[in-house]
Order: sequence, then C-alpha cells, then structure tokens
Amino acid sequence: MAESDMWSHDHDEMDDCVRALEAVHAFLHHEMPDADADLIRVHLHACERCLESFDIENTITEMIQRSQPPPQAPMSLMARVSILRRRSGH
Amino acid sequence: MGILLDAVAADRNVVDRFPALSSFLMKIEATDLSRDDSAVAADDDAFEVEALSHLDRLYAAALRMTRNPADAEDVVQEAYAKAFAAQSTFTPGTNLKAWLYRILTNTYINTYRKAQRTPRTSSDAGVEDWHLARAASHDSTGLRSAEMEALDLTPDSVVSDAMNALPENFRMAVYLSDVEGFSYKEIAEIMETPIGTVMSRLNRGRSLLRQSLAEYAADRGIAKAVRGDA
Repeated sequence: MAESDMWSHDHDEMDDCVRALEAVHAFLHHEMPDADADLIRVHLHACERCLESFDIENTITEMIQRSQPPPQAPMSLMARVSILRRRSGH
Repeated sequence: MGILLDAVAADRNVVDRFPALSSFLMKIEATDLSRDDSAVAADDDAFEVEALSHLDRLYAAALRMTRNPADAEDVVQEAYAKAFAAQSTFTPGTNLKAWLYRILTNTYINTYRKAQRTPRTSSDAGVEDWHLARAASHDSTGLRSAEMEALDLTPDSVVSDAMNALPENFRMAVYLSDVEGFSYKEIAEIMETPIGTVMSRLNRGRSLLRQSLAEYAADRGIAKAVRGDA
C-alpha cells in the first residue's frame, strides 16, 4: 500500500485512529467510561475518516438488526415446552 | 423447593430423556423453606409465564447457533427442561432473559455441539485487535461513506448470510450484542468468558462482517457506480 493512501487525512496521528477504531464497537454500544468516550469524540471531530468509519459501523448494526427479525417459535415447540413444564413442575 | 425436586425426581421420564438434568439437580440448593406451598406455586407460575415469554427470542437465538430449525427446537426444549429444573438457582429480580440465554448456550455447547462433533471453527487466538484496527485505518478497499447508499440497498438475506458465515463465537457475540441488546457484562455471563474476550469476539465478528459486505458491494459493482470518482 502506498504511503499516500495510508495518510489520506489531514492530521498525522495515525495511532489516534487505531485507538479510535479499536474502540468503535465499545463506543457505539455505550460500553466505555465517559472519559474514554470523550477522547473518542474529540478524535471524531478532528478526523473525518474515522467519523465515516463509525457511521458505517452504525449503519451495519442497523442492517444486522433489520436482517434478523425474531422468528416465531413453531407451535409444535410451544407445545413441547408446555408439556415439559407440567411434567417437571406441576 | 422440595415440591419441584420431588416431582422431578419422581418423574423418571424427564431425567431419562434429559440426562444433563441430573447435574442441574445437584446444584439445586435449599432455599427459603419458610414460604408456604401456595406462595411457592404462585412463584412457579410467574416464573413459567415469564420464562415462556422469551420462547420466540430463545428459538431465534437457537436458530443462530444451529442454523437448522429442527435442531433449534431440540436445543430450546432441552434448555427449558434445564431451566425449569434449576429454577431455584435463579435469583428473582435478576435478569431472567440473560439467565435463560446462558442455559441455552450451555445446552448448545455441551449437548448439541458435542454430539454433532462439529469442529470449533472460531479461534480466539491469532490476530490481535489492534491489527484489525490498524488494517481498518489503512484500508483502501473497505467501505466508504460514499458507499453508504449502496450498503443500505444490500438485501437482508445477504446480511443474514454474512452473519451465518461468521465463526460461531463471533456470530453469537454479534448476535447477543447487536440484535438482542445485551450488555457486554451480560454477554460475558452468557458465554462464560471474560469481558475482554467478548469485546474481542465482537470486534472480529464485526470486522469480518464489514469485510464481506464490502466484498458484496464490490462484486455487484454497486460501490463503483455510487462512488463515481473511482
């Protein structure tokens, strides 16, 4: 990969990008301490490329949710589980 | 509690059909003996109603694990057998859904997958997370915001197939987090792994998913058309 491709955004702290992308899911899932999340926000303000990347990940999350509608358990399964309960508990 | 234990012990059919049950019965501890039978019965009913209210979600999760409706039904049935038998180990007021998912996951891993001798395809070893992040930050072929439009046009079936193609541990971590909305702590309990492992599985699973969706877009030429400036 050409060096110019690797440095396609303005600021020159690639390590900041790596740290931000490493935490993208923890950030989007609200699983980061506030102080750490603030550091990510600061970086996203400065780095459009990472912001894009976070946006894409967020979109993929929505796509995943859309693609996985909860199927209804078959009636046969409901029956099997209900019988099970009567046998074991009541 | 004695009532349930006696009833289960008396019903040899249940134990015979679900051998794993016996190990759960061993774990049952004596609980509040001061409550009278009617209170116990009322608790049992409430427990049953709430447990059954999660049936659709558990079946969906089992489908993600087994990728096969018949196997999913078997895993869910056995998980409920264990859950009902181990009811006393559940602490009222805590997260029943997460508790049920843990039993479901255990059932799948210990009974179903062992029986099927399915090779474990997902290894937690190998590439470090920061390698993934570094690769993403350097990535010139991955998705760009210009491709967001194309991304949104990706059919659900393609996303679903991409999910199913993920190694099992990664698939479950992504599913439990992004679809079921469990916290990392809950996922750690369900999968019985440290939180760090949960995060790692999520990162890797999502990284693979993003990669395969990017490949789909590229294959379809959608990305190129949308980007225009390529």
